[in-house]
Amino acid sequence: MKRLLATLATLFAAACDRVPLEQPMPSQAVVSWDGLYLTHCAGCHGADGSLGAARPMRDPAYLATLSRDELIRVIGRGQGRLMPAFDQSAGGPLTAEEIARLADGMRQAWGAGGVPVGMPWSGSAGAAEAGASVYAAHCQACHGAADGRAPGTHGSVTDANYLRLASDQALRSAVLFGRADLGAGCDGRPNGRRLQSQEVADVVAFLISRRPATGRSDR
Amino acid sequence: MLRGLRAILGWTEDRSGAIGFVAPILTHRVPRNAKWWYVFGSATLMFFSIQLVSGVLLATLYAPSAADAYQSLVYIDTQVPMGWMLRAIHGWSSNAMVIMVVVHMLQVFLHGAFKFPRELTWMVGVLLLFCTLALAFTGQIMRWDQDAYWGLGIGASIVDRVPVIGNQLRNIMLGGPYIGGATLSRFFALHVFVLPGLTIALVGLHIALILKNGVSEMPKPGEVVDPATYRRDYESRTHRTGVPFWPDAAQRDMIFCGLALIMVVGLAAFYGPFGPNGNPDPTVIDANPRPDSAFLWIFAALALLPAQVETFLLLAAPPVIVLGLLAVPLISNRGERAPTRRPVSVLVMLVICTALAALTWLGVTSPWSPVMDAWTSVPTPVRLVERLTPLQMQGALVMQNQQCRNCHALDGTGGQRGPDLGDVGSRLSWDQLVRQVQQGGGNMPAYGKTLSAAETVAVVAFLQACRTDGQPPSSIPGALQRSASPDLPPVASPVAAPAAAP
Ligand code: HEC
Ligand code: HEC
Repeated sequence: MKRLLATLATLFAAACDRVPLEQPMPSQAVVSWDGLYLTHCAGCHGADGSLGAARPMRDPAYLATLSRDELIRVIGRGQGRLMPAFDQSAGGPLTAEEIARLADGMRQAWGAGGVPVGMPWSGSAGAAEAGASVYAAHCQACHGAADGRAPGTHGSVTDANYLRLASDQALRSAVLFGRADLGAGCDGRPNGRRLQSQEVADVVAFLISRRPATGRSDR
Repeated sequence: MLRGLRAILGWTEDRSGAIGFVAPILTHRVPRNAKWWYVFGSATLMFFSIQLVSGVLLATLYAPSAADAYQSLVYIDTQVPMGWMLRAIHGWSSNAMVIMVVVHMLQVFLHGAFKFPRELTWMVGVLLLFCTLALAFTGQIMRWDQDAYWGLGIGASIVDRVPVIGNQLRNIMLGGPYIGGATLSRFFALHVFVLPGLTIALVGLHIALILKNGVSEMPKPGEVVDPATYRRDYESRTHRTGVPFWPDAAQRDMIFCGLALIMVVGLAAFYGPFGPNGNPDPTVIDANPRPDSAFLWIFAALALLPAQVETFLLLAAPPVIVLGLLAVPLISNRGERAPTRRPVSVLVMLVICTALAALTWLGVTSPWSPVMDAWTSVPTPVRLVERLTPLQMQGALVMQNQQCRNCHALDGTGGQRGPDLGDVGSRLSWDQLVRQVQQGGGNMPAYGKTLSAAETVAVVAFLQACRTDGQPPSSIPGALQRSASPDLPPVASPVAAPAAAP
């Protein structure tokens, strides 16, 4: 018995020797920008930056138009109802430094050679009446008449519930850049021509004017 | 010198009677055949003492406010010398204490030691079991991480279901309608003042009762307990053949406790502290991580319960379990103690143990447990994205944003807790989909209050588009073929439809 106890005590003492003073922390390896993208963005914006449910990030014209600060702000604070805020100060999982690394990585890898569309990424909405005719001329064929009489080929964007969920900025981005990743001629240049700055503002205003005042935030 | 010491001792003894109090405790006779079976109670007590000491130390470092709690744990882990070890020991020793309580209780049950005259000792022991579990539960909440949320979320939802006063109870438990700063303060007070105080008092009572009635002997088949004669027989037997508690029995206790302690310190050093796992986010209602090991079986049971009986069982089970355990000695307090002569009791015990072990095992492996970051990392399948309308696309985003993907796979990717929804549009009709989303069912929470009408319409429109290529949407033959039309109120039955929003 005594011998057993002595052995145990020695073992214990030996073990004590090897207890590190600091807890062996999981290695704080710096996660590369694409690692951050894959865990935090790919679910919505697509596995390789395109063909996700939310607008593609792998879009050179888009990344060339949107400034670095704007990109960082959107990631940090979120946008609209469905884009979550990722900055820790807003309850998200990423540090400011990680967000900057992610934004720079995306801009370098996916924005290279992008030509800006010549209009700012964000801007105020224009006149809804003028927008109605822009819509009829350039959008109706694909998205259907706003009164629902002539369904388009690619689903309505004047649908009340769609408009309740998409933010003004999402609408503007859709008009400016379209969704080139989906093919189907949705590249922000309806009928082969880039819309004028005023036309963009107007057609966005038109879409916004179709959004019912109620039902947006009735969670 | 020695004389002075003796004088001081004598004075103290004369005024307090301390030695006169302790000496009989140390020398009281215990049955000779009480061997290694009897060490578990002492081990529980030892772990409780460790909890008290390490707990007091932790309380000096821990910031019990919702804003700082998480950070203060990170601080203890990384900045305080050996702080992580302190947390690790507190965590592992808490698990060890739960295990020891249970083993101790099983031993007492198996040996029929709860029978006359030790009924009250058993009942106090049952209360101690629940104190221990309550300490473990509230301790998990101190971590104030996503696991803490599991406990609070489940607890609140159970309390919520109590008829009539459910809401008030929930407010009392959480310090308001939601989990917040007041919640942590409440549970801190429970974990640090109320429960330890109660436990200390009950431990005192438990030990006093043991001393009064003596330690039970090893059961022998044929040696029946008869309240009329038991006390006299026990006295004379222990007087004749018993040994003094100190040092004979205490020695074994100490060896076992020492080994158990080495084990816990080893585990603590090797595996480190528990959590904290991820800052909790009050807006993420569906954060659904795993509870600590002592509660894994509840987690599994909740996942497996059929929805129809869920509420009933959740409310009925706790009182039945508590009263059932308390009543054990009242059901039978006389007769045979040997397990070989009590086949039914032993069988019941085995069934309960097997069920708990199986549920715990399921909780550990839980194939249905959610994939916590699926919502941001697992994309909507391209096959679907390519054919969605803008509204359906928003629905797919609601699916991600509301973390449905943590539990539901699409085409095999995503959580496996709920069914794969890649072809749900060919299985369920529009109305059925709306009902499932709004009212939940199975293990799925009801989203009626969480989603706006627009989000519900969008997500159902998306689900309806989730079909294997070429399959038509599911519909009830002859019924109105419904789909997302502008401003369709997202209700399942047209009768119950409120006036459509303008
Ligand atoms: C839960 C799904 C989801 C996740 C995860 C997500 N996004 Fe988004 N994101 C959206 C949605 C939806 C929008 C459009 C919201 C709106 O304006 O209505 C959006 C918008 C954006 C925009 C602005 C698009 C515009 O309108 O011009 C950027 C930039 C963006 N996200 C980047 C990111 C990055 C980077 C990540 C990863 C850190 C990320 N998102 C993660 C859903 C998500
Ligand atoms: C050649 C056909 C075509 C034309 C013309 C067209 N679009 Fe699109 N649009 C699409 C396709 C395809 C999509 C992607 C399908 C989807 O989002 O479900 C789309 C998507 C959109 C979206 C939704 C983006 C999102 O994900 O939320 C908006 C808004 C939109 N278009 C607006 C417009 C406007 C405004 C015009 C006219 C200036 C227009 N579109 C012209 C084909 C077209």
